Amino acid sequence: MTAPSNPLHDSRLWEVYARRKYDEPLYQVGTVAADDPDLGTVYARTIFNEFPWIEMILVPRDSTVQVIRP
Amino acid sequence: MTITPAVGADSALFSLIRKLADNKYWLGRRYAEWCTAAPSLESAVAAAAMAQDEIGHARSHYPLFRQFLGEDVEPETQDLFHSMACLDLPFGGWCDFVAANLLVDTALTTVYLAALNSSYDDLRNRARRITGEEEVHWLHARGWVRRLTAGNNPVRDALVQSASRVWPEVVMWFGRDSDADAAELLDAGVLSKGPNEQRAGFLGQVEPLLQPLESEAWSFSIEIDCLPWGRWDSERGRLVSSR
Repeated sequence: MTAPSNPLHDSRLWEVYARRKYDEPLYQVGTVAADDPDLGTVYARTIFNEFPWIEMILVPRDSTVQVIRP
Repeated sequence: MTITPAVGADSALFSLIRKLADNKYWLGRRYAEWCTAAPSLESAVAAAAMAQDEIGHARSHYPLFRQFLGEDVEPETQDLFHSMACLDLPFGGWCDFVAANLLVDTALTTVYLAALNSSYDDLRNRARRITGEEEVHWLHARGWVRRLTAGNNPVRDALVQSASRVWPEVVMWFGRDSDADAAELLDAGVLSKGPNEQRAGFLGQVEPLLQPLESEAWSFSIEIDCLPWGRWDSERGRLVSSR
């Protein structure tokens, strides 16, 4: 992992997707900022804990490909 | 064959339960003090969640005191705790938080891992739940240590200082295989591993993260017999000040 410009400031954004039931798709529940994937995992689990999710994933925003621009 | 563990105020079992409870209680309180002072909003929420976990874990142990003392104990009314000395004072900075998360929290979890099949039902049931909830705490520690040790920056040096302050006491906290209480807990099946084996497991887990912190100023390598056992309060599980 490359050194962040400010070790106490997160700059990488992750989109958080989760689902509550096996028969429903993953949907976006929010965003977290974390330069480290482990910390992104912690933040997502502790911030978006309003439901007993059965699945939650993080997708780095910088890996998304925009197909249609608003 | 396991032996039913002795239950009483002077028992090795009560000593273990008390140390786990008090260390969890104070670790939770120290975490909680950073809920509004963490470096980011996300880390503040994580600190609050971890504090809630630790205090909840502690509170699940205090009702067990009745089995040993014949009365209930409220941690807020205690005046003597069996917790590590490094938790006596509030953390001086975020690096103290990270060092405690990495070392103290992981040390406690190591003991619970040795209790997953404990002959003492109440500890076994709690160990299974606690080790599951501690997974997030480990991710938090690992993530923050990696962040703070990336590159060469003053924050890294602060983390070295924080870790070096906590390190000897945490390593000693597991005790020694020669300790009578440790042997009793192992023989009774309360714990599946003795102090040396627990410590080896703990070191194996944290050492990869500590390697970037090593320098001429500090090394985490230890000789067990060279640690300050003369200042070790085995009853309370803490290092007594040399002053």
